[in-house]
Amino acid sequence: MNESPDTNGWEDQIGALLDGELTDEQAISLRAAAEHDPTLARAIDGAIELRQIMSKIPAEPAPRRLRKQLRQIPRQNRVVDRSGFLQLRWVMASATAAIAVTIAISQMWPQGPTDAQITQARQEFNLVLAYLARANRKTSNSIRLNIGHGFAGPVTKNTVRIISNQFGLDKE
Amino acid sequence: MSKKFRQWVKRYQDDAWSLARYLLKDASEAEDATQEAFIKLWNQREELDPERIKPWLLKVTRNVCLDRLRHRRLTPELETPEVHGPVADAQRDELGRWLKSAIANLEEPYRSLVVLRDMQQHSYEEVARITELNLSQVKVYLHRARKRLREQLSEIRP
Repeated sequence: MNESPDTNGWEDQIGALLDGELTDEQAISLRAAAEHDPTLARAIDGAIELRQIMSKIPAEPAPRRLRKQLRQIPRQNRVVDRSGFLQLRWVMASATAAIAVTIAISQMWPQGPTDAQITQARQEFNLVLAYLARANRKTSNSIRLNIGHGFAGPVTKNTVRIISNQFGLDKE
Repeated sequence: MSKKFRQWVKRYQDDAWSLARYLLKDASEAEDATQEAFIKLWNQREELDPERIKPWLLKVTRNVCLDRLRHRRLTPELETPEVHGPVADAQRDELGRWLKSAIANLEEPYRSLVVLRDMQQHSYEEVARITELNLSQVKVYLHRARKRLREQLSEIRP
C-alpha cells in the first residue's frame, strides 16, 4: 500500500474529524494546518467526498429467498424438547409400576381373586390406560410438532390397540 | 425462543448478508454463508448474551466467509467477474458502483473494516469485537483502507 508521508501524521485526525470526534480546538487546528498544506487539504476533501459517496450507496437488502430460508431455520433445526420427554418418561414409568403392582397382587392369591378384586383391578387398569392415553397424546403432539402429522396417528392408535388387545379390554 | 430468533433474523439479516456479499463477491455463496451463520446462532442461542447477538453474528458471518475464501485459494476456480477498473466505472459516472467495487477489491481486514464501520456504521468497539482486532488496530487499518480508497478516488477524479 502506498503510504504518503505527507498525511500519515494526520490520518487519525482526519478519521476523527469525519466521525465527529474532534474537539472544536482540534478541528480548528486541523483546518488551519490544511490551509498551509495542500496535500492535507486534498486528503480532507477526499475523505469528505468518500464519506458522502458511501452514504449514498443504498443498503442492499438480503434476497427474498434467503429471508425465507432464515425464517425456516428454527423449524428445520428444532430439537425434541427434552424436559417434555422426561415428564413423559415419568408418566410411563408410573403406569408401568402400577401394572406391575396389579399383576403382583393378583398373583398373591393362587386360589384366584374375588369378584371385588377383579373389579378393582379393572378400575386400576382403566386408570393406568387413561394415563397412557394421556401420555400418548402428549407424545403424539410432540411428534406432530417436531416431525409432522404423518407419524402422530399410528403411535397413539397402535399403542392403545396393543394394550387393549393384551388385556382383552376392547371386548368389554 | 423461535420468536426471538425471528426478531434477530429481521434485525440483522441485511447486515450479515451485506458483509458476506462484500467479502465473498458472490451472491449465491454469500447466501450460503449467511445461512450458515444464522444456523450457528440458532444452535448456540441459549449460551449467548442477548445484548451481544449482533457482534457475535457478524463475527461468525465474517469467519464463515474467511473460511470459504481460504478454501477458494486452495481450490482452483474461475476468476470472479466483478472486478472493475476504477477509471472504467467512473467513466460511466457511477461513483457509488465504483466505490462498491473498490471496497470489494480491498484485502482483508481492510474490506471488513470499511463495510462494518463506514457502510454499516457500527461503533469502533463493535467492529473490534466482530473482527477480533484491538481498538488501535481497527483504527490504524481503517485509516489505511480509507487512504487507499481516497487515492483511488483521486485517480479517477484528479
